Amino acid sequence: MVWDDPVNLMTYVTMVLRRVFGFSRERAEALMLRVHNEGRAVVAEEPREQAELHVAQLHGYGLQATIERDL
Amino acid sequence: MAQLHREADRMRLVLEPGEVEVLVSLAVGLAERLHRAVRDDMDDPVVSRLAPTVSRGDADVDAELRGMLRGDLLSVRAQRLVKFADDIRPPQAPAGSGLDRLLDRDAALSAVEALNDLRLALATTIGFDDHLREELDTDDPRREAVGLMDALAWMQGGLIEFVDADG
Repeated sequence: MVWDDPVNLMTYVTMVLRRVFGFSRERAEALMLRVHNEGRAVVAEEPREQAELHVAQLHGYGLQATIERDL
Repeated sequence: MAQLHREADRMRLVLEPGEVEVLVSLAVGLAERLHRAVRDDMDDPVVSRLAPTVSRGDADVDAELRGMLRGDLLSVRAQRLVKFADDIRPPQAPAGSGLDRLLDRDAALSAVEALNDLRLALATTIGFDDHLREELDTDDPRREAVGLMDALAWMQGGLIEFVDADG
């Protein structure tokens, strides 16, 4: 889950989602807009180990990302 | 005033001496803060923002994973902030120098990341949110920090366009 924050630029969030998950620009922008408009968005549903790796990467970029179970 | 110019497969970054001083001071100060946080195992709001919650729904998972990630996350951040400071004011540069440097995509990405850390730290320090701009009186000292955040955002945005361009 990625959470909205008032500091990270929209283009930055898009760039990070592309780099971490390999998303297309269109998919990354759609997820970024969902985060921006709804306050949060599930960006991946995956096994815990993989999710931990991705959260660590997202934190490295300064995004507020969390692991949530059974959403 | 800072300038960015695209030149073929590079981006030229030009900074005035005063801008170099501000960026180096912010980057070195934040790096020292993060090093201290790792050494002393102490959190403050800035440290917590830069090594944030891992799970909002499960306190045990959060404690376990944040404990695992925190040290490396803060140390890597501190190292890249020091590198950023060295890149914009190389050790051999005369005191009071500006910067005129061509960045490739890797160097530009490093700068984007460091600028983001600086903006997050500034924002956390002044309690920035979506409404703060409207609430600030003309003599509020936080206006200066907001102006600085905007300047850093302009630079970061230009570098992101370069780093994240297709092809």
